[in-house]
Amino acid sequence: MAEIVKENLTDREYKYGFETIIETDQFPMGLSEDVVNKIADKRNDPQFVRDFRLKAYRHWLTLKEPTWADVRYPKIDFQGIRYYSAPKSKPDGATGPASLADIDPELIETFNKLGIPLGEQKRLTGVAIDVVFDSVSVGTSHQEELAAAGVIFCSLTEAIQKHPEIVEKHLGKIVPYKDNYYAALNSAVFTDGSFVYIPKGVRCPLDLSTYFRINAKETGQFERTLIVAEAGSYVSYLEGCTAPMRDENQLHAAVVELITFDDAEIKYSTVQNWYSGDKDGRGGIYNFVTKRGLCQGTNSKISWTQVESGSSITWKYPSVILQGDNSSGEFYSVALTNHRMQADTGTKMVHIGKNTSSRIISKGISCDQSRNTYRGQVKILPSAESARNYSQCDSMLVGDQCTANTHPYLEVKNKSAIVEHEATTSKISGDHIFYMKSRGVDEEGAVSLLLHGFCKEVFKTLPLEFSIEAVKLLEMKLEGSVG
Amino acid sequence: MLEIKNLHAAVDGKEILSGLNLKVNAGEVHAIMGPNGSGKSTLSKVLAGHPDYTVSSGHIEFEVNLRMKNVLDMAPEERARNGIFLAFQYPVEIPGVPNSAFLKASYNAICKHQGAKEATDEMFGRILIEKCKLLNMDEKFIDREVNVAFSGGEKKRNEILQMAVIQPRLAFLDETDSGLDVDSLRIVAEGVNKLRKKDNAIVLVTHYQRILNYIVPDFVHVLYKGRIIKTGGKELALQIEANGYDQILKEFQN
Amino acid sequence: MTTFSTIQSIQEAWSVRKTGLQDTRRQTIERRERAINLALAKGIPNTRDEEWKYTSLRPLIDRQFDLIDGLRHDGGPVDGSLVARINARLAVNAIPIVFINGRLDLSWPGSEALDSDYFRTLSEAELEEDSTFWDEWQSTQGMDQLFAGINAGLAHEGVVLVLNAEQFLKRPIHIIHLATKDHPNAARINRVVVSVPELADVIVYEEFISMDVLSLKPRVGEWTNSLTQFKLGPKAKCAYYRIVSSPNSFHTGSVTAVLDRDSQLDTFSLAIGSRFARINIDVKFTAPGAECTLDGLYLLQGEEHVDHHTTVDHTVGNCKTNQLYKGILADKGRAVFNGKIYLRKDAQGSEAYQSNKNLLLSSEAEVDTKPQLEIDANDVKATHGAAIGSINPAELFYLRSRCIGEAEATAMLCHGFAEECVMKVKDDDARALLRDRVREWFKLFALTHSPSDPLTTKVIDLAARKILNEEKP
Repeated sequence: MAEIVKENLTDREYKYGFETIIETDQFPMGLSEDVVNKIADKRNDPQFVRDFRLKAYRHWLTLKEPTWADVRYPKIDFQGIRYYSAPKSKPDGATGPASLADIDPELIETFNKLGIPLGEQKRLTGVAIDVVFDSVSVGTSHQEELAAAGVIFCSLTEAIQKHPEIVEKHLGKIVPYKDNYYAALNSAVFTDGSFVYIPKGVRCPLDLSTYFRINAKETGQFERTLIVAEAGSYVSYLEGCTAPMRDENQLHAAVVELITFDDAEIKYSTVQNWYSGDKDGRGGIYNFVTKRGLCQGTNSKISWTQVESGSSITWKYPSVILQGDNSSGEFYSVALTNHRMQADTGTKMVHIGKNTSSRIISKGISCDQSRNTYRGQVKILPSAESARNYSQCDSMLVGDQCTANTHPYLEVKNKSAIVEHEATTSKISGDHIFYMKSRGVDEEGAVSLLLHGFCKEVFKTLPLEFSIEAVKLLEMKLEGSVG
Repeated sequence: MLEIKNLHAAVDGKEILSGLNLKVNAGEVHAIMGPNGSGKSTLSKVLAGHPDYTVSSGHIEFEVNLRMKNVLDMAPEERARNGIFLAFQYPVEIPGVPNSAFLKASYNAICKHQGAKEATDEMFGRILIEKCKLLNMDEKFIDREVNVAFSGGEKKRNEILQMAVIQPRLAFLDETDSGLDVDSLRIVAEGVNKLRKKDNAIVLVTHYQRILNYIVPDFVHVLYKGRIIKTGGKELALQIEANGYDQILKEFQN
Repeated sequence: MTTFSTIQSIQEAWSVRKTGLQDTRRQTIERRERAINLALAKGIPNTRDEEWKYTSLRPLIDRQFDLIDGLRHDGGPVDGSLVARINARLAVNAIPIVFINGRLDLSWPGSEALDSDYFRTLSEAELEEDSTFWDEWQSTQGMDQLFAGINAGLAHEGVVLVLNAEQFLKRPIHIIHLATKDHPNAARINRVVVSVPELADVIVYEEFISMDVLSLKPRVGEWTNSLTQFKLGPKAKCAYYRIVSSPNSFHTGSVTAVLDRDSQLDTFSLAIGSRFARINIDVKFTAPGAECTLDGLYLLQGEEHVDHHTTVDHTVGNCKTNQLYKGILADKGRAVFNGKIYLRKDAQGSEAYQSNKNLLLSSEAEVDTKPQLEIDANDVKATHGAAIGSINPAELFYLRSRCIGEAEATAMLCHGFAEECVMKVKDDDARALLRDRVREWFKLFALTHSPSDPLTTKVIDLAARKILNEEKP
């Protein structure tokens, strides 16, 4: 990633904006019960998945698009979206490519350009990767090594075929299809995503990673990820995402479900870099995502870390339901918006069990004419004896045209709770950069110092190999706005 | 007046004191020293009855009306009313409560306990002013909220003011010297010395020898791994200051 | 008198009110009608409405109230002991303006000191002033809210204080809205407007009390819908102390304020007893250099529900907002705090500090707090914070280690928690008065709870000792 920094600013705008010309198998635009059935046919869904889809679709029809978020955009035409698009090289039906060697060389090249080496000889050490291209997973690395530890890491499609009993047990249980508008839509039309199962007592030997790529035009991406951590297990999971630069908006409505049993821990990190539109706000991804973890077991833990730097609109609240006694939830976020991006993001911590604790650290950086909103809910239910929450939400404004909002909701129904929320606002401007330059620090160094100073609590929670990429990404975007 | 026998105490399920013995008589000054984590603060908290600390075995007895009584059965306020005073290492800030109201509540609680008449506002005001004079303290202390926006030195001096008001028979000073500059240390130490009497005792819990230059101890104890492993006179403190704990710990391990 | 089911039949109430108006000019009727229509345009909110997320209007909707008519108190001379008791509650040197069950009693002992130079009744001012005067009040921020609009449409009497430039009212004005058992289901709709022009200075107390506080007799509750508006000119100063202490009553209060250049408004909202209270306070800065203090304290017991919604709009630069709201919740008390501070594009150089702290004393109490910052300007200083918790064990242990028993220590900490907010009040007389009311709440608490209630013994103990009674030893 180091060479990114050396490129000059103009080229840095969005280096992942290219399009891959690849033969695809895709549906015509539009959504109907028929389309939902066709997706199920295409993927050879077992009956329980097909039923889930249809129930979700019928429920979705009864819902209205949510309007409470602090984002503004024209009404989405759900009939103007393609709900299935897959590279032709992927064999139809149930299973994915037998090995990564079967993947279309064009795709391998695409992921090389994105910095995600898929070829066996070049693969990243220490990280197993699943790649999702438009609607389907095109391959997962390190499968043997993981299998030896008893870990299942594959596409959701494969999991539905090979491990239907685990999928059926958890699919839609943490994020029910009735949860919200986009979760219902996703439940009806989801095509692929990642699946992780960590058996009892296993500490996953590798970091697991999924890379999402939207490529095809006029296509929505509706992936679904499910991670199950059995008692005493641990996994660190990372996800990254990019899309080509296009003038039209594309919809990404994903669902992520996590569940931890006694003493288990899931650490889930995201670097979200979907195309965010150009400086006038043309194009970009609508990122309407429902992510939720359930700490079902005692002493279990779920930690979300997110670096949000892309998408024209973000609507995302990774949450934790703290059901098990002594369970804990964490949310660490850096959200950077520039140009005309709009982000309404935050978290929900629902305390049900005794001695549950949660920690929220949110850093919003707004530049140019963007809107950056933190929205977070902390709910302490009567059963949550001695619950603790601490939230720190800081905003940084770059320039005088942007907006930074903070909307915490603290709901406490147990007197033994201790809930604290703090928020501050600060600014950086050309003056700050100039001051540092006058002390001999160059521009890159100055931006980097400011960024690190502001976000250090979040950066230190990112896995190392991700952290470097994420920080460079933010530095580039910020430099373009501060300079 | 104080006798601690084979005391075992834990916090968060972790045993910190493992068979501690200590005897303090009226008129004596004791110093308890020891490396970090040896259990010094735990001993202070257990003696004062902090609810987070649990005693699994052993006992603490304190002389009340010429009879030894079990301290562990008493609530924190009972211990305090019977004459045990802990000067906190980190005095707590209490917004909205004026120091005067706090001290008066304290003072009257003791009056009531001793069957004496409680002080009126006027009487108590005079007592406070007198105590401030005795300790060379600014009367502005009285009107401020308890420890709120006090400097480190002011907080420690406020502890000594409380001690002057309560007049305990046993004062347990938990690192009262830490974080103080030379001048504040002198003021605090002089305050303590003014409150010394032949029928009360002082226990200084400290890291450093320097406070012992002002308040000279009769006994110096070294606390390690929750037990007192060596007891000596004031020269022991000087020896520790010069050579550290290593030598003593080695002796102990052999 | 007409009985109606509050907000569901506002139109009905309006047609009754219309016929009783003193000022029958078309402009007045149309203005009042516009206010009601604006308020009702959004419909009756439910809890899906973000502004009403934590407060259901159900308890209010379900009740029938008698719409009070008649401008003056006509119940004959008021019982002397009542006068003495009420006047004893007045702020030091204050001039009383007393409403009894919504009707103004201008013969109240003390009210004769009011000067027509600055004081008129609402009905007088409505007749005397033209629409430009009233439209200005009608167009201020917050007037599109349901209860402000209902008041502007239905108010039958009120107080209009218009000071002259540079006028300094040495004596505070103390408005008392008194509810008696004569009209247990009264719907009292009174309006107060206060104009403080350039360099003028005034202190206003507004207190809503029912006989409960004085006699401690339980009674059914009335509904008070108040609207109090301030307009501050350049360098004007105003302090506003607002107290709601009517257990069993329903209270919907709206306060609006518009602040011109370098003016200063200090407000304190004390809510110590209301079956249901929703208090909206909207402040808008319209020129640079102004300052606003928004402090508040709510003390809840029983099944009381108190909801404060405050909005401060910095539309211009170099203004300052300082806000501290605190609350103690016992029994099944439920508090809602929503504080919005907007720092708009042109608000450069502004400062806004907001804090909300809550002390929960019961497992059945609930608090929902939502401090909100919306920032469109980058050269600003803004922080907000919220905290919810119970008695701090470290503080409790500290007090106990100083001989103070657990019960008394708990009471001291509760008092200290409230006092932290009250002590911020700069005016000595106002601070003393607010302290007095807080103490009244603690006493009331002790009297309405079983002596076996662990907190009650603490509070009784405390009330007896009057720990915070003395200013200095």
